[in-house]
Amino acid sequence: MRAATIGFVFCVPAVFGLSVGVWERAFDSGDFSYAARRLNGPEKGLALILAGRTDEAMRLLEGRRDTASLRLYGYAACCEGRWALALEAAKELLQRNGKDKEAQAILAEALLALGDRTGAEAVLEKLPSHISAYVRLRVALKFGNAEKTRSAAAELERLTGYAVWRRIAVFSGRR
Amino acid sequence: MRWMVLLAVGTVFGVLVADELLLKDGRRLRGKAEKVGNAYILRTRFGWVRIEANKVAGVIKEATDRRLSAEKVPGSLLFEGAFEESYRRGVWLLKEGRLKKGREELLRALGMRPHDVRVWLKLGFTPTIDGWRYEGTKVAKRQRKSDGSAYKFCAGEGMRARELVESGLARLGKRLQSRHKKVVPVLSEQDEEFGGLRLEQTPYGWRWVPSDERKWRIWQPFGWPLYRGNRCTIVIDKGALQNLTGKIWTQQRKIRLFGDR
Repeated sequence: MRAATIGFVFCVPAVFGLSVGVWERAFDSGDFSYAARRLNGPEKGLALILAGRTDEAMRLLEGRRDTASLRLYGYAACCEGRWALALEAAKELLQRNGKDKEAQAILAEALLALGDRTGAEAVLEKLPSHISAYVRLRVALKFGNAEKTRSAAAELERLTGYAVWRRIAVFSGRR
Repeated sequence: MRWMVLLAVGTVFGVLVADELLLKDGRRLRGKAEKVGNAYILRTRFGWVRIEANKVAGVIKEATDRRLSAEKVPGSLLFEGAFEESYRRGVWLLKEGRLKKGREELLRALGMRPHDVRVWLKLGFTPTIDGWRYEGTKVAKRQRKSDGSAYKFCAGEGMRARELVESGLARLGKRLQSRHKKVVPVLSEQDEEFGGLRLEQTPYGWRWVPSDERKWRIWQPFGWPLYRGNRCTIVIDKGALQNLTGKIWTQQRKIRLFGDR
């Protein structure tokens, strides 16, 4: 009886599961849509972003005011090219915490994409070099600027030590 | 002891039959929910709580959508705290081989700072023009396996038999490379005179078979303990070619190879 009780008590979390298990399965299968179906809130938003469904992530996180959701919303908005919405999210995040690096990255990306180069450069200087290079790369890719893509990719390759960035520059040039 | 079991069963069923209130800040509350004016009253076994309707994202009623409610999983990752600490801890855990915990920490870090490329890379994602693509070990392995089915479709679109043979040998080479630590180069220069495949109905269904009776001869420096020298001739006849294409499609390990002739 004691064994049954202990077993039952331990089975309860297994039946309901924790999100960590869901994430683990998603990583094993590579299917992040599965995690998105099983999760809620910001975690679901992140799963949607990992699955590449940033538009759905935006719809999910729209209206949420907690910091984690706002960050993910801003990132998803940048991915979708909804710069004005990203800018709003970044400003709200920066009002709460002026040193928030993610908010600064979103702000820099939105400003750069909206054409405010001076403002963007001022923010990019505050960011770690790999984030600022990534922001430059994203915007250059969005606008099809091959030269800037190449320089940002080369910088990222140097900073991260991964050669995959060069491939992006090559493919973007072909496109 | 018996009452403990009954209590546990009661608790579980109590949770199972409850409504679920989804709040806009991401929290989920379980209990019996009813709307009173501009608010919800949620009755739980600990008491009741009044929540304004504008703070509620949705209500999952037990009677209408119990399946949906039961399928969802309570969140445990909070994207809060110090980013650098989570990131460093995640990297350290991955190095230690504690994959599950490491990923958990890195996910937490990613939730806090999705613009940080280091976290994506550590989680096994690869940057592409259109965003990040997951290329974890197992997933990459599965994708490599499914390449065979891709060839199958290519054959229908005019892929030549020689290419199928080459790809099959390249696969074999990779396998040998992993087992015997011998470098088996991919075939580079082959005669262009080899014909294509013909779709024929066989007792095993529709299959691609060689369109002529010619034997397939491929010269290849080959590191394989079966042979004395490093250079050998691999002759693949019509039947063997069928096996080879079968290997490509079905991922079987057998391949008919002939020694020096």
